[in-house]
Amino acid sequence: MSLPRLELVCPAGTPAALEAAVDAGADTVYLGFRDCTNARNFPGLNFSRKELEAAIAYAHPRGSKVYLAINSFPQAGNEGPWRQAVDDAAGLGVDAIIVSDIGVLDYTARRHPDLRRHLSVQASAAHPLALAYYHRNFGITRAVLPRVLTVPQVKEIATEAPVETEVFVYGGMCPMAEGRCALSSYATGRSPNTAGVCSPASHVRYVPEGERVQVRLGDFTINRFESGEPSGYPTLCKGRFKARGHASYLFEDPVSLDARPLIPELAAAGVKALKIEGRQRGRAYIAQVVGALREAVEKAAAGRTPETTSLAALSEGGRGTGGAYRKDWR
Amino acid sequence: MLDFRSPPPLSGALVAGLPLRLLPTPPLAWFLQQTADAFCRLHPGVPERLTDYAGRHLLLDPSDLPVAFILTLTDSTPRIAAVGQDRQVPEAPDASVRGALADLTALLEGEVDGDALFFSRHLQITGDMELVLALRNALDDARVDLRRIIGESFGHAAPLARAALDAALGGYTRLDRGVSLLGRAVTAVTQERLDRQSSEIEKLRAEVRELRTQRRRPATQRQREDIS
Repeated sequence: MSLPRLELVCPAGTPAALEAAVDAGADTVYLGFRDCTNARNFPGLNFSRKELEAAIAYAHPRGSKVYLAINSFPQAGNEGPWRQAVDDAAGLGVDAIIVSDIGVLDYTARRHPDLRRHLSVQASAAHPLALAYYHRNFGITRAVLPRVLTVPQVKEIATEAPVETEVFVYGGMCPMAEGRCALSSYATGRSPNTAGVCSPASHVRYVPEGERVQVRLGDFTINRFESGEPSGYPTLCKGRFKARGHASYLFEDPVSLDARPLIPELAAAGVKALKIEGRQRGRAYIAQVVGALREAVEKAAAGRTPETTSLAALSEGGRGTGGAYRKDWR
Repeated sequence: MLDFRSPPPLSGALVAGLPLRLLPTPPLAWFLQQTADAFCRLHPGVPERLTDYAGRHLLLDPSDLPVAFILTLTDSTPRIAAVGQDRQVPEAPDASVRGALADLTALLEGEVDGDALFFSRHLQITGDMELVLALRNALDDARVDLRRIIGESFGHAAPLARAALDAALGGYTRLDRGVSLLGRAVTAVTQERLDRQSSEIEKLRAEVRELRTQRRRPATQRQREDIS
């Protein structure tokens, strides 16, 4: 049985990564400006206005779209960067913006009604009622669903909500209600919601202890890796903590989402697009992951089940998981 | 002092680097600075992206070479200097990146993903992570071609330098394969013993699992009897 060919939405943190994604078969590339208006505000990453213009000029003739993530939350007295980001996105001709804040959505809907609006995963809208509200009031046409839903839940939303749905298929796992998680703020005073960065690099230290390495975030030790033990991102949700004398991962293991075998189910559930996480990753990752996912999407469209091969070396902890889509641990 | 507790990989660089111990520092320092100058001429966007980090020092430490490099970022062309393993670092670096020479050059040229190298523990990073990330991201965007940069650093003699470099790289590849073969020959007996032990441990684990399962069964049955 053939299924709809899902749109492959791929990350880019630099112009070189964008070209790698387009060349590897991305239907769409999403990116952010080099400031606090997006949730991957890492040092040395992201696009200037001029670079975005060049990115669109590279992507469009090759049949790829460009979405701009404006998905952090403005603070009172400092809304300027978000307004400017929306205005520039409209002026430069991006295909859509990915927004989480209702104020920014409202501003866009009023000032630039023709600019396509997607609801970011950062809005943490996880049921049809919420999506209907966003659609009715701010004219969103698509929502990126949080990584905490099972496939049946995704199907319910895709069937009932008046908007397209986009789900994560590969990359870093966020096990929290995104946009509402304060773990990074608790440890460092900065979070993706406000400063656009989870576990900011300025607050991360790796301290060698002989063959072991201690991972510190702010004033907290959040993990210790033995010699040769695969490691992951230095986030509190993937920290290893001692409870009742036993050290374990209380929230989530260091592991990457790899939902390739679930693509046929997601397509049958009515999902419109698949998202790859990883704007902070290098262009070698982008080329390899986009290529593998392109193959998986084509396989699923032809009625076959994609396999999880060839990407373990790029994953956190060296392994992949079906994540919450299966949710068999509850 | 530098921390060299983690052992280097057995690689061609480890063997080929031995003569570097005999090389006086000035010619190496001159060559490194020429390379840094050529890099900035070819990739002006990189130092531009790093101006916020002017004055910071980064130790680049190829674990299989007898020298390490101190990179000092400035408003324009960075300064680069070599330090020997047994020497004091002139100024405490803000951050350090340690890994095999092959991994570091692949990272520089964007052929591998830095996070993946880090997850697999092929890279050891200490100190200011923001500095390391900013440099990694700027380099990843630059599409660096090390062969072209080294050639360029020789000015008018670039074609000759590139030809010499190609010949050296060819020789290095053969040397690396030879060293790898030698390594496998040396460790073959130990490896065989380790494989036998792993297989034995796996068997014991399976037995322990089976014994635990057997022990649980009567307990469950007892529970059922209590309830009824």
